[in-house]
Amino acid sequence: MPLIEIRDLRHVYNAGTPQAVIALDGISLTVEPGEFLAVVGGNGSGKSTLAKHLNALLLPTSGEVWIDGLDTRDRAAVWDIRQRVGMVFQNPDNQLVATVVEEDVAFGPENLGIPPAEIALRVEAALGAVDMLEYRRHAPHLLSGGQKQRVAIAGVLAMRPRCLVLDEVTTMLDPEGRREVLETVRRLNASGVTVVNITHSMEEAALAQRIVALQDGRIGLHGPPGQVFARAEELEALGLTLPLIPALVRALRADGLALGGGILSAGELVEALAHISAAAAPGGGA
Amino acid sequence: MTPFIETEGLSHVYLRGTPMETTAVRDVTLRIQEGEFIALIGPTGSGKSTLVQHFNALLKPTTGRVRVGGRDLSDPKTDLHAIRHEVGLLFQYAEYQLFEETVDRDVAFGPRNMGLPEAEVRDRVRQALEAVGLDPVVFGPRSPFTLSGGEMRRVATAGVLAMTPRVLVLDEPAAGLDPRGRTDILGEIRSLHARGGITVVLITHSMEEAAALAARVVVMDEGRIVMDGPTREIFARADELHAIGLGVPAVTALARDLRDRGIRVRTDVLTFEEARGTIREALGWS
Repeated sequence: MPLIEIRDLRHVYNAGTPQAVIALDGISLTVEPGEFLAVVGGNGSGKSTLAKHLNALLLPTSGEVWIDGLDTRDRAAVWDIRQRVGMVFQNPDNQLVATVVEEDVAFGPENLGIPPAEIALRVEAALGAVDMLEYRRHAPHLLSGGQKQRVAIAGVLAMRPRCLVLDEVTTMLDPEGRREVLETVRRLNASGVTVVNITHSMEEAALAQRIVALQDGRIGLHGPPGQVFARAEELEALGLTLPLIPALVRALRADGLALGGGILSAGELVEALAHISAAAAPGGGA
Repeated sequence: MTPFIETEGLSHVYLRGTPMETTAVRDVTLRIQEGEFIALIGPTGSGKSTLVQHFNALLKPTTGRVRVGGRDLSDPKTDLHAIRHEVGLLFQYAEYQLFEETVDRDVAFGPRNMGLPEAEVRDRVRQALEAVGLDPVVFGPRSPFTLSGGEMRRVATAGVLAMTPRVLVLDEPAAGLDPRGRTDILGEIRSLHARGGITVVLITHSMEEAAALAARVVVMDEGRIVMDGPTREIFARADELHAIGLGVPAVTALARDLRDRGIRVRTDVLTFEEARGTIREALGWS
């Protein structure tokens, strides 16, 4: 069974008024357990609206959203859905509520009425998973941006979700903070957590197994990074750009270099160029 | 040449004499010449935003002094209003500071407060909107709240430009924008500077932005200036930058990796086209 199943989802804000805005217009999408999906698209393409449907913060104007077999329109299922899908947002300063890190992480499970001994175990596991255990008694406001976002992720993990939805979580971070958070997310995904990463960064999208590109509330492009980045003109028409490495590969191929398709990372490009260089060197040969 | 902005032994301590006392800026001496384009980089909390707020007397030094155009900002005879017209500051997420009913009125707010004649105000609004790539006829009468994030950011920038500042300080002007919005606003900033006259100080977490736009990079860490020099020289010091949680542009990192694999590329590349060129040459394709 897919973890997320979206069938012909439409979302209209202010429906039936002159200010009606169609934010999502016929989205169908499934996400299997353990997948790592990136959602990209320009401002106003519907990314954040889609995210809010994944844990019943918004309900479909028409169409259906099923989470782990639960229909988001079923009011009785809302809390089960929110426990299964945890969301982390852009601003690290708006998400932490307590004065001590471990109390912040315990906040969600406490609200579920989980026994204190179980909460303590969950908090420890969640802080361990984001590599913040040594900061458990620190004040959140004294942490760096990357550390705050990792605590916010731990707070979601303490709910034992099956899926993490990340809405632009690295936008406000410095390079080190971004590295820390992306590494944490990659590790969580490797341990089985499904990840939906909504991002403006095409470099981040390249880290996912699958990319969905939205435009005007519809799916414009959809596929593994290698396939999506092979369609540079279509991406540009969506207001998006290629990440650096695929863009460089494209330019070098236009210059006549015999680079194969499907090169996504710097490491792959270095190897491919080293191979060409060795073949071209006097006495070399491939 | 005397610098236009000059700080001498500038330190800033927040909440002095309380248990929360924090030194945000430590003993900073910095000289900015008229017409420069400087990128100010540093990890979160390194003091960048605190430092630039001294450039137009929004903050006063705890110790040390600041001079703008030869005037000492701690001298009670200095006209701080005049200074604020000369040094325009665009804060992070400036679109949240829009408040008027129309774009025209929002951009006109500053010049109108300066007591300029109405014809002059209208002239400045039109020029400022054109400078950020928004058609005054189309956008002027619209409500700022109907615009996209990127357009709102540009309206906020126009509001600062309408004051015709000699120095423009921009704090993360592209953060949170989609790839097209990013390219657009950075292009506008580049051409504003290229048209001459205006000095730009750009605070950014993006090494790519710093490399592509600035001639000089100033690096802060823990309140101090730890590096200051021409962009190419600063990004040649990758190990030092990594040690404080920053890095080098992805193209520079790629060139270093290629060099390590024995490909004879230049390692001081800063832009996409430079990387493309040196790879082509190294592989004998020039």
